[in-house]
Amino acid sequence: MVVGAGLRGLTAAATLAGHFPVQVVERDSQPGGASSTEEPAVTRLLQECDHAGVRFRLNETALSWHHGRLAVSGRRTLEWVTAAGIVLAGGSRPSTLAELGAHGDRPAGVLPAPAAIALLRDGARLGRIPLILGNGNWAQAASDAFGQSGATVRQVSPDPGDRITVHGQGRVGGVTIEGGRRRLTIECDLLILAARPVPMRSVQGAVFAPTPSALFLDGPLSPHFSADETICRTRDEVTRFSSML
Amino acid sequence: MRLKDAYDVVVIGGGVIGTSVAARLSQTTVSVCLLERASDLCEGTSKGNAGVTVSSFAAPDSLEGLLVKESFRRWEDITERLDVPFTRVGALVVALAEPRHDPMAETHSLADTLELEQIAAETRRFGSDARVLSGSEARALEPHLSSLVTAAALLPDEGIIDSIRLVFAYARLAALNGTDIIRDCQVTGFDHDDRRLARVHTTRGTTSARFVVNATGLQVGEVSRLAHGDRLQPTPRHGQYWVLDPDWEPSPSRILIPLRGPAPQTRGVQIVPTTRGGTLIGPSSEDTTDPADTSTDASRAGFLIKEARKLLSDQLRPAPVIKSFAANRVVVGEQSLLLRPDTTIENLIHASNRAIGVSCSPALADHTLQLLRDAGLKAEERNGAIDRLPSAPRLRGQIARTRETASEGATAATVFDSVVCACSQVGEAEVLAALEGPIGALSLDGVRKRTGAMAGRCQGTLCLRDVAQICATRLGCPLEEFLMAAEPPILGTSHVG
Repeated sequence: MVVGAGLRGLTAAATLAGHFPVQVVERDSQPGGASSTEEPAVTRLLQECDHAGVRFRLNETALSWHHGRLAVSGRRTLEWVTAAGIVLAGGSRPSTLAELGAHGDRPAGVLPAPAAIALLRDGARLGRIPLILGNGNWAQAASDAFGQSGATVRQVSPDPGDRITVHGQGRVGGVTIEGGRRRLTIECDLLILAARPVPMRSVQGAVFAPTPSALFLDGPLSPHFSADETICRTRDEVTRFSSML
Repeated sequence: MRLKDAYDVVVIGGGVIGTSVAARLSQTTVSVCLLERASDLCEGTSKGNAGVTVSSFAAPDSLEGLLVKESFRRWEDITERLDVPFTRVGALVVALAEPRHDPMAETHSLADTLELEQIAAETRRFGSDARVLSGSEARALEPHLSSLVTAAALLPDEGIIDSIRLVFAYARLAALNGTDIIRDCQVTGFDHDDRRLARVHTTRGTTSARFVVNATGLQVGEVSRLAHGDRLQPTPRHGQYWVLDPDWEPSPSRILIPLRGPAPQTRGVQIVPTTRGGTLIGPSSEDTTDPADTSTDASRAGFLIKEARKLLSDQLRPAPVIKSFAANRVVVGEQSLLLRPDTTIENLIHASNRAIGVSCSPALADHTLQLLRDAGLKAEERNGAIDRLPSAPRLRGQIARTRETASEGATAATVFDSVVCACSQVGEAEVLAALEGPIGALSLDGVRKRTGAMAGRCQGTLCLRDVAQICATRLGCPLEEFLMAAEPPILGTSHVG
């Protein structure tokens, strides 16, 4: 069972399909993940999967891995599927406030970037003076998503040792970043968390490595890798994993 | 919901005490309203609760002790009727040897055992079958206890509960029985009739009251002042907790309490399993001057986790914190419990508790009713009063139940709820149910409190947008409006989180 139909999930599925019956569980309505379905690498992998008889479960969510069985949720259904092994390729997400070690209040108006981006694309305004914490893809996407709304978007990227303090009673009012030689306090009424990627893991029983019969393919990759390089490295990892099952 | 012209009893404060009192009163013949100044119930001290139901506290012959004694056995029944998660997991109070060479080790160990014996004896006076175990007996129960544990007192009747859901359940029961629950309703003053309160003025209107219960936590002093009642000076005591990932191993099945804190007079850091499968570490405890200050300090997490790790095996992985929260407990004078009529105002009852509001809420509600009756309230038990809430199937429970039943090699497909929040295993039907009724959620934070959605390790990264869409659709308002509806607007995370 492969959880996630992004680039690495598709590669895993295509690689494993020669040796095992493979199913890919993807919560979205289409494969591709962070890459677009139109991308040539994705299209090729989808063809490979198709030829190899990989079964796709789109709009389904993997929930729990327990003693060789994976619970998969669909529209009003729950199925426990027996599998020799699972591959977790759920991508990554920005760190939460707790993961950032942030101090201070826990006011309203603090959102993880993927959630904010989705809401902005739905047309919600969210705030007048947004602050994006972090740089990288999410920060860029969030900034773009704000583009239409006319809000002035500020962005700040914390360094690894920085101390982040959130201020706000009720609603967020600002953030202080201290570290090294700088100490900035930035006012905001909306804080978008887009920093320090961590693996996105939501399958109970498959959250911490090592997990029996599970391969985690969701650690951060060097941003310099091309799609082909990613695919190549992933194939190697999956082949090693598959030989141990 | 509009304030009516008159009520027999006005209960001020929508935390665990106010809602449990309202629920109890609602089963009698009196008319009741519950006023909450915030936009939702359970926004004050009760929001930062660790979710422990104790089996002993204070002296068994004190009022507080009696309330605990009368409450602790009732939880299975109450939580079954109110559909609130609860498990009587038990607790171990553990004595630890010094990690380094201790020339007085034997003496210390003896002293510790004596103290554990005292704790067990005290607990037995409450009617619970507590006893002292050796280190190895304790480790047989909890295999991951550290080798430093020399002895432990087993308190078998301690439990864990979803305390926020308990508050909402009490409130729903009260509402079903006819209690008017009014949110965004702050008390601004009272009219008096000699030494009685006659009318209550609020930001949502005025009403007449024959009796008033002041269950306002950190505002007990302010409400009493407005009522020209006793001078009460509540002090906020800050308590922080850290929530660990539910997938973290090794997590204990029981509540673990160190016999000694890191400094004299301090309680040690407790490890508390939660009804959602997570683990809490805390509380830290400091007196603070600002009752509204619920900020958390991440650097204390490191210290507390280090303290907690003394209890559990040395092979512990770094403990993954998924969130931290803090609340201010209410300290009024020396006593933990304040439950009595005002000494001047004849129809005013004060009700607050520092440490165990949840644990004594069943008997506290009964006792408050008695105090009201003693003060002249005519309240008879009402035939046909509702005493249970319909139970809803919950996704998390369904997953747990079907986990073992699928036979080897086969797949089992069952019809159930569609998942919305994978991290917390919350389904669509649960989110919709959270919006229902007179005290339905009006915001994302409200949904989170009632269901646990968006409260897992990803803190809403995956599900927040879907939850918002479901809510806006169900409430029939534009997404924008829903996100902005409650004060404060856009509740991605709030005080808890």
